Amino acid sequence: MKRGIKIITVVGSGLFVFMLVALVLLSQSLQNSELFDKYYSLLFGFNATGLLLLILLIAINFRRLLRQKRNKVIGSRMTTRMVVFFAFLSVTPVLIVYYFSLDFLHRGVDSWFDLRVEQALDDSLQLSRLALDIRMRDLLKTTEQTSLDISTFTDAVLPFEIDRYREEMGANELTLLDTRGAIIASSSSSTSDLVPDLPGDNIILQLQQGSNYIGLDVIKDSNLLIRIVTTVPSSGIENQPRVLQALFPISERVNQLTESVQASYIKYKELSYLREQLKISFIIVLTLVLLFSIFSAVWAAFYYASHLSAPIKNLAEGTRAVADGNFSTRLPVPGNDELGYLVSSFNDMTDKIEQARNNAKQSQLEAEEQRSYLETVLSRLSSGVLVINESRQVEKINDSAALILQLDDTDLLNASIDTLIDTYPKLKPFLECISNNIEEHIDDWREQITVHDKTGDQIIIISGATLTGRDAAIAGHVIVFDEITALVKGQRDAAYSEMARRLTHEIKNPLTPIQLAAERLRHKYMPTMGVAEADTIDRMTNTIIQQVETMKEMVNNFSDYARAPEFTPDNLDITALIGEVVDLYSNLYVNNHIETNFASGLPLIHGDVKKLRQVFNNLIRNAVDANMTGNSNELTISVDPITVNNDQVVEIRIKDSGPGIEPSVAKNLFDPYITSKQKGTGLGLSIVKKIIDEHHGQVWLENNTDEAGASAVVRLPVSEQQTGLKPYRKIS
Amino acid sequence: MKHFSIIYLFCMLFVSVECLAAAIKLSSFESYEKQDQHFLDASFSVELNEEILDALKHGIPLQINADFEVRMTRDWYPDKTVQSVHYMYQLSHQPLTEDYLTVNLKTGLRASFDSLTAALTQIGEFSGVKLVQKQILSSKHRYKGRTRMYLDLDSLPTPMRPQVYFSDSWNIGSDWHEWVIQE
Repeated sequence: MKRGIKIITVVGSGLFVFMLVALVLLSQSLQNSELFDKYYSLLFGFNATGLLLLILLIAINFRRLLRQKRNKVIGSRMTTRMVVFFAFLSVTPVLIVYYFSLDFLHRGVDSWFDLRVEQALDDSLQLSRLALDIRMRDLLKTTEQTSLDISTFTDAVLPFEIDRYREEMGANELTLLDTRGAIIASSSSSTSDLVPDLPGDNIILQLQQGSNYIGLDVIKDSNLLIRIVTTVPSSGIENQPRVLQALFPISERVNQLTESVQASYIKYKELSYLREQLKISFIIVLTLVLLFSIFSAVWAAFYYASHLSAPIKNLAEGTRAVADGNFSTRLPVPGNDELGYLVSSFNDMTDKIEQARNNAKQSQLEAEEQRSYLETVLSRLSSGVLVINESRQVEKINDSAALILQLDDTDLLNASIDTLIDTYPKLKPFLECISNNIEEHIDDWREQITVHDKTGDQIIIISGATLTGRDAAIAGHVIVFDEITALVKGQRDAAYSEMARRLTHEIKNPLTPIQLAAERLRHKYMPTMGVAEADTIDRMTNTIIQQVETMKEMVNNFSDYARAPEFTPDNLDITALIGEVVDLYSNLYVNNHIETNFASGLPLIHGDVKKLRQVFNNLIRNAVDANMTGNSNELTISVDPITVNNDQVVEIRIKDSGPGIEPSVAKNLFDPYITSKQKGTGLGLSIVKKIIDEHHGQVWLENNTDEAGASAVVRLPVSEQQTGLKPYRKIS
Repeated sequence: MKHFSIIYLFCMLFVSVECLAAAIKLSSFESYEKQDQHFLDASFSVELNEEILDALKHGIPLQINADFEVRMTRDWYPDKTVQSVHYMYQLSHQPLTEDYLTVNLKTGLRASFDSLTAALTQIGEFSGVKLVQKQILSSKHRYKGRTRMYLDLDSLPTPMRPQVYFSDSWNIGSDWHEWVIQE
């Protein structure tokens, strides 16, 4: 519990107890309890202040609740409902009790007063007065008679006579005064009262006006006395008018009765007068009790609502925390009740979820490690790997695969095989092979295909396997493929070398004795023969010798192709090299018009000058030969720097105006002994291809699109010294 | 009727009732020294309004108090009471004799008057009130006297109090009257 709430709770509870006590005391004080009567005002003030404090507390709580509702704090709506519910539950019966209490209060207080009782009390008082009046009139007569009797006495005699007269009259005190109020003589039955009780000025005044005084008086602490004051008439020159006062006692019984009647009368009058005030006082106390009950109930409602909603609020916040992924949330268990059980269960649940999450995290980490391991292995594999899911989409691809297929991995990733077939027609044989095997549900397959490109054929060996998921369902396919073009080419080159060695050994060696034998035949037998025979021998031996020469040349050319001379690269200016070859052919074939378009500022090429000269020699010669069979003699040679897949290369394009390339031979033009020319050996382009491959470049032939003829295109990587590129990097 | 009572209660709490002219006032006053003693003669005129008179006639005893104080005047602090004299009188109506009875609550002396005026005159008269002996007063300090007379509302019956506390009709006390005893 927060400190502020704790203070409010303690203050509220203390206030509740004190107010309860104060209300009880206030109620007691209204019943004329001596002790509490003195503190009535204090208690009233305390209750009023306590009530104000209680209202303040409720106002604070109410304000806080409103703020919470405005901020949509969890539990505020429940607290509001509970407060309203509690308040309604407590206020309703209290108001009913209040209503009936007020009713009973009014009826009860009113029932105390009755006109008949009031009349009886008035009558009693009147009766008391009448009873006393009769005695007072008798005593007045007695006093008046005594006044007449003593009127003849002089002032000097009276002090000796006054005792007797007092005793005869039965008075407690008898005093004779002059008209100014001075005592002449006095007699008292009490020995303690030395000074007589003198009549007031108003009585003397009354006497001077000619009327006697008779009345009931209270003298000091004594009971009621009858005071009679009369004038003593003058009886000569010596006796001036004087004043006689007699104080007569009232019997004890009469005194008691009259006191009782008077006390009852006063009490009744007082109560009658206080009736409305009494009602108001009771109503005040009752209202205070009502307000106290209502406000206490409302405050208690606030307290218990917040107390009850706290665990639910905690639960809601905990649930939100769990939803946000914070599984370490643990809530304080509020008690042993159902709410406590719920909170405890929540804690267990989060505990288990956290454990499960940790396990999952661990598994994920392990899977991640495995995946990373697999990724590393795949990235280091020279074989291309594709993973195709059940929707026939490329799910995974390694670097080697992209390299082999000469595409970006992003072009392939998530793409459907069917889409790729349309997008990349070059890869059609490759993709169709995969597609067919997937469709035929072959679990494990292996095939070799050839992908044709303008730069040459690409031989790829593909193997595939089905990936099985849960319940042995097909989860996808893994395709592993390798480009074996270089291997095949190597094997072929090795076979060619072997063949060249054998040709040299098996064919070329026997040719020399054949040629020598033929020449020997000519020299030995021709002179001895007739013209006809000699002519025949001549033609035959010539044929033999020429054919042997031709065969020798053929074997030498083949040996040159099969043999791999030493590669001695250097940085060179390609335009200078091409320029030399162009100059040669310009002089040799003057009918051809050779145009050169060399871009300025071309980078250097890292290559073997001799071999590259042979390349351009062969290519320009082929172009010139093509022009000779065509209708035009235009030959254009352009050299441009271009960028291919972020690599800087120099592209050399030799464009002829001949008949172009026939589609039937287009695929195999770079193979040995493939030629469209009648005189060619079929090794020129093979040698070109071989040299360009040694330079990690590209070469292909293509028909011109805008005009007749074909173009030989060579792309060579730029030297590292100028561009920072590594030498011999193969153009992809 | 009961609803009227509640409304009336709240009206009494928050609304000022008409202020009647009747009140307690100091009518004459004389301070003098005699034989190392400060004395005071004072006369208060006490008049009761109809509301209070009605209560008196209905048997409600009234307690009227008179306070006489000698206070030391201080510059930076509240004044300090050096000596104080209090008189408390109870005035009640005797329905049997139609007299008014006054009782000195300190001495217990009772006196009966056939008129209210005589009773109130007797209550308001103070002669030779011994205020303070001179030797008690320091010559270094300044002293002043003050007096007042008022109707003690706390002595009224409990049910009346919530009403009279907030009623101007019942607050008929005089203001404090001050005079200098020693400069």
